[in-house]
Amino acid sequence: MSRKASWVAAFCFLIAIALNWHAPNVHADDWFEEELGYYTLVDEAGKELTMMAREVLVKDKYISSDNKCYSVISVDKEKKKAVVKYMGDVKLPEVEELAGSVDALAQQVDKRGNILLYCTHSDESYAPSDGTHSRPGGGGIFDVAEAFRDALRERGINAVLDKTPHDPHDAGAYRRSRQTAINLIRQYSPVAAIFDIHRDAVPGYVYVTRVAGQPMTKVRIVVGSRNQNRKANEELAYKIKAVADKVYPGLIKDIYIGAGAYNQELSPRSLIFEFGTHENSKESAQRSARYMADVVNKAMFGGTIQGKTQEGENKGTYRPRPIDEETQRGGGRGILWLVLLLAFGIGIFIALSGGPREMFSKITGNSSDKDRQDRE
Amino acid sequence: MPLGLTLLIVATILVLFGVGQRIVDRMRLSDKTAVLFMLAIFVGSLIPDIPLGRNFYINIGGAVVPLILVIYLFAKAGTGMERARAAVAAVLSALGVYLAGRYMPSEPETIMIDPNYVYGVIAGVIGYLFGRSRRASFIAGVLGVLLADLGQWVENMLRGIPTRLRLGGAGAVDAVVIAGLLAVLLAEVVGEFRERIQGGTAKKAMVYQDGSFMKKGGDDGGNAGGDGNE
Repeated sequence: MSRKASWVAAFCFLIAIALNWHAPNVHADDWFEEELGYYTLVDEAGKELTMMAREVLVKDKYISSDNKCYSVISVDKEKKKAVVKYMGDVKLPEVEELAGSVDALAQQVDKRGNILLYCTHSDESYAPSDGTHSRPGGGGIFDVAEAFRDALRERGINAVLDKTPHDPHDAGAYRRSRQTAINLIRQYSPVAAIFDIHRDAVPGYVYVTRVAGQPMTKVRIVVGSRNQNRKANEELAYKIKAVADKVYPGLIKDIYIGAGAYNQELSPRSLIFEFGTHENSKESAQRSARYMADVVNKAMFGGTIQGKTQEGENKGTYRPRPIDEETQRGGGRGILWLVLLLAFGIGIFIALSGGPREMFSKITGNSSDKDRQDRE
Repeated sequence: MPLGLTLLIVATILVLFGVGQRIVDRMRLSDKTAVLFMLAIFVGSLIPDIPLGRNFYINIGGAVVPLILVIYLFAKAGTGMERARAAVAAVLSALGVYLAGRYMPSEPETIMIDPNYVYGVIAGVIGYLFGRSRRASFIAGVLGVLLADLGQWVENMLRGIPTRLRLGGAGAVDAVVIAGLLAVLLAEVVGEFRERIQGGTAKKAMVYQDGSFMKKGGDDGGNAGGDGNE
């Protein structure tokens, strides 16, 4: 390629990037502006299932509050509508119900490992409480994350919240928050789990709920599918939902398995929690964060817990097993995924190499005399 | 943590290390030097970031070691022209990374490739177009991300947003390292592909000397970097 052609190609490339400026802006969690909107997920009969303020792609998976698994089969970007197909019921891990009361069965549980928290979209705020939906440098989302951290600490867990801002709220935010996440993992090993705290951007009523007799916001769990830890993280999400559904029904809205990585390749115990939306009050999101801490504690470390109906009445005592005692297949699936990826890479490498001899010399890094002669 | 998950973490690290070593090895480094650099990147990643000022940190594995490699490759560049090309490619890829961060959709699922790899592809494309060699691609990849991060931090400061600059803060899995390695891989793939399309190397008229392809007759011209095959 001539030098002139290189300049022209690079110039066109930069222009193409710059033109994105005028393309319809997609700001996912910030989609509350009228003109941008959010996706509505409907089943094949046209019945509305939920809303999603993030890009919805074909093959994304959605596990509803009643544990039905749907897969996205078509997306209408104009109308912001996605059609999903029912794929079957998800079987969540069993949660044992006990006969006695919590006090009688209270036990000391060994809580090894730290729970690490950070906020990728650190500007996210709650308009009714913060006066704005976005406050660069430190939004209301930090207050919700603090409530979650404090509630975890009250339960004897060493929870750490890193309040590093990752502004601006653009495509680089996850890249910057990746540094925060790694820094946390580096400083606070062993890691029990690492959670990225967000709020959603769909209309507020979608997230309004009552848990244990109190008004609060629901919580959506987001799992990234584009990484080797997807299965392991999905198992954690199912475990958390299983405990919450038994103990505090109404708390978990749903689980969304989207096409991003969301830095979840860093740990096989990492999830995104969305506490309410920009239209809910921060206080209601903080309340649900405290109940969520109770659920996460028992889902991770086990122990007994008093269940409550949505109206606040006692509904039984439960003893979830620690997640490490569940049968887990996520590790094996992840390794298989890595091996397949590596095999694919090697396949491309072989295809690009002229022949087995050249391929071998590339892999070993040594060119034989014959190779050199061929080249000269 | 269950054995399966522990093995998964170990396998991830081994794959990253192995692939990284093979890529670094392609840039006029011996096998041993490539292993040493990858080891330095991994071990350096475990060391906490070094504070360089208020809200300004640098990571050894994610930024210092890649920068040392950049300086080494820059010094080893065949000609002044290759250096100039690498420098221009670095500045342009920084611009590309900055613009991509700014104007690409903010959620990772909206683009085909995860943002962490997009920067590598951008730096790789620009690095290859301008540098025309694996070395220049690596330089463009690493410096592109570092300069773009620096630019964003300065912009945030001017806007009064107190963010933290952590150069290469994610260590071995930082976009800095990924961009550098991916840029080399791209140069390799594009170089090989072009060579196959044109039915053989374009360097038949060149001689292999001091680790570089040089034009015969001592003319070290602008092509000493070699079209993606160096």
